[in-house]
Amino acid sequence: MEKHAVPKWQVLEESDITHIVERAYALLSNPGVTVRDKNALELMSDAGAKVDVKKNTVRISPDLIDDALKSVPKGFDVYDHSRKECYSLRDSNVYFETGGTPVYVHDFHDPTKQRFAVTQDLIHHIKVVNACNNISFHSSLFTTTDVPPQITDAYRLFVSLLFSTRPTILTAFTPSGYKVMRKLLWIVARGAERFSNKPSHIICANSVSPLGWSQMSTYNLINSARDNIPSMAVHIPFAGATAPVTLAGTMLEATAENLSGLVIHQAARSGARFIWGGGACNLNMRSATPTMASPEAILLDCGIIEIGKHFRLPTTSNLGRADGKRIDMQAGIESGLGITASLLAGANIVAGPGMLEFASTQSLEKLIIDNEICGFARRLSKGINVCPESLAEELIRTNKKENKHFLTSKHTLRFFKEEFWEPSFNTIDQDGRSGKEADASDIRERAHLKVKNILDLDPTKESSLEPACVDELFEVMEAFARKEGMDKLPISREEVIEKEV
Amino acid sequence: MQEAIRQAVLDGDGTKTRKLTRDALSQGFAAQQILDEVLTPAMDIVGEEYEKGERYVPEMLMSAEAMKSAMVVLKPLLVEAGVEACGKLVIGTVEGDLHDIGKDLVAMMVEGAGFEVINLGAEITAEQFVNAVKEHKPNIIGMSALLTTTMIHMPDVIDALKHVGLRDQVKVMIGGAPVTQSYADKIGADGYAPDAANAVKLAITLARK
Repeated sequence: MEKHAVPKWQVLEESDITHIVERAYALLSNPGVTVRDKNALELMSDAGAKVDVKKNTVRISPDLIDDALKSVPKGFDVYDHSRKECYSLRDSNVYFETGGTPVYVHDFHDPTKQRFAVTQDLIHHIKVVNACNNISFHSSLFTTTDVPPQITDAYRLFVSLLFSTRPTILTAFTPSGYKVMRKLLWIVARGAERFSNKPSHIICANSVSPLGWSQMSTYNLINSARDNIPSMAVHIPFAGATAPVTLAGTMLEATAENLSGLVIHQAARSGARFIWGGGACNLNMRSATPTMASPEAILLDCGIIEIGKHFRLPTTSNLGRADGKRIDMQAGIESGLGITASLLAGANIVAGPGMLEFASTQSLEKLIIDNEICGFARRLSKGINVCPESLAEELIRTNKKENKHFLTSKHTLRFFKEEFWEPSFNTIDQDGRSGKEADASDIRERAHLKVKNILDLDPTKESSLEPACVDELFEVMEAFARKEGMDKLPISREEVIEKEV
Repeated sequence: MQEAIRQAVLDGDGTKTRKLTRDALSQGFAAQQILDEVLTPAMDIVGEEYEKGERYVPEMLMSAEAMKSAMVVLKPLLVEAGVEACGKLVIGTVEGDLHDIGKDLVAMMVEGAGFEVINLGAEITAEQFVNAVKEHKPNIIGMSALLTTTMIHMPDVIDALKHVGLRDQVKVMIGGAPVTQSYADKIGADGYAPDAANAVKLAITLARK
């Protein structure tokens, strides 16, 4: 059947977007942005920006912004680790990603317990994501506490390369971490050029609101551009704290931050692949904590996505996260609305599934539930297909005449899987046959069971990578760990190399 | 040949099932052999796959339809050979209730399992059920209700059967969205099934009692 109208949600008028962009250009001319990295200041000076080295400020002219917008690719493809599956970051193709860098994990054996993550949590998380049909991207995820903090950025990439199949979003915490990460990526891709041709990873750089860039953020931005690793700029201004309390003002600030990141990035290498980032939210004025799942956060993120789409750039948003601490109705409402809004707005990468408590905690059970929510929302966004075949006028006429129902019609058999969304893991209860005798489980219990099934099916730590590739990864990672004072990694190559059956 | 018929039933292809059944007969297979060795085991697989979540309702029903189309060919031969159906079910949706899809699913699936099924339709009163029992002499009557306001007529039918002295001659099975095993126990029905696949199992069990 042909595809017709697709539901969309727009929070800004075209004239609003033009106005916001115009004022963002003005902000970048005056006062400009703060850049706390000597190399980045030099780069921007060479590119023609007005740089005040003493004050670390960079004033960016409209011409520089226009040039960056001209040179940046309007969409690109990302691949899974095997380079077979392709994800097209353009138009309104939406892919879900486990969001960000949480501090805590919900203990799988005791989900009421929140604790710091260790290597085993990372492996469990990767295995559950691998089983989720609606989660396409893996985030860099936990900084595990069983390795020194200086190596956590490279270590979590190392573990994800061993076990994950999905394209992954990364960030480096130190220049030495970045260099190790780059080596690891190129080992699995079998060379820098092969990586560049079919990138499987994206480097994320966060600005410091209002209108600032830290040394490490610009390092990530500049070096990923130079190394042909796609970059993602994520800006998280808090309305009422690090941005104006008004949503329009916060959106203006985020637009200027995005444009400044783009200009720095394109100055490092013209034509490098770049993703326009959302992530803005507001501060709760009673608790002084950011609310990432509030209606304002949804409006802000969707508005910023619209502005990115105005430039025809790939976009990312932080929607789908829950502010609540537990897997309960609050988490369902927050993630459900955020995920739905991001799909209807057409964000290319949505970083939220699995997240609780202001993006500080990941839960495997919530990931399973969010995977279902993503499927649900994806169906919503497909809309209603209206064509002669789907209208089935003649079938209605015939069945009415013959007093027949539609369950045994060939039309039903032909289209029911296409028309109806079906939950993937039986965690969404749509079964009118069960639950009548007061022994029904709740969604968290069903999700817990599903996680257990996934982990029980694959209890090993074996990697699907070739042993020679695993050896190379270990060599690089172990050398980095030794340099930072760790003699033995929490995971050994003997555990990882697939045993011959 | 047997494998081809079995596959046609599993695929829910009625036209092919009927044609292959005719071919099998012309090649010397006995009607009862086709029924017992091919069609009934194929429908057992369909029921099992449905219960395991590997088959959807429309797919299950298309298989039941395929089985039925083979039975159109086999039935006269089975009657001629004196082979009796494995049971007879009179089924209907109870008084005041127009919802008959669930009941029709059960009718189709039970028929697919080799039962003779008399489908009375929807809004069947206690008196109509009793008259149907008198007329068709089934082993089982099946009652369905979708509403809590209509399921209360189920015990009326059981009482009416008792009143005319027919309760001991017929087993009673019930089903429908608001109905539960405990409700079946409470009103004195002989069995409850949560869905069409389980209704087939229940009908076979009750017919053997």
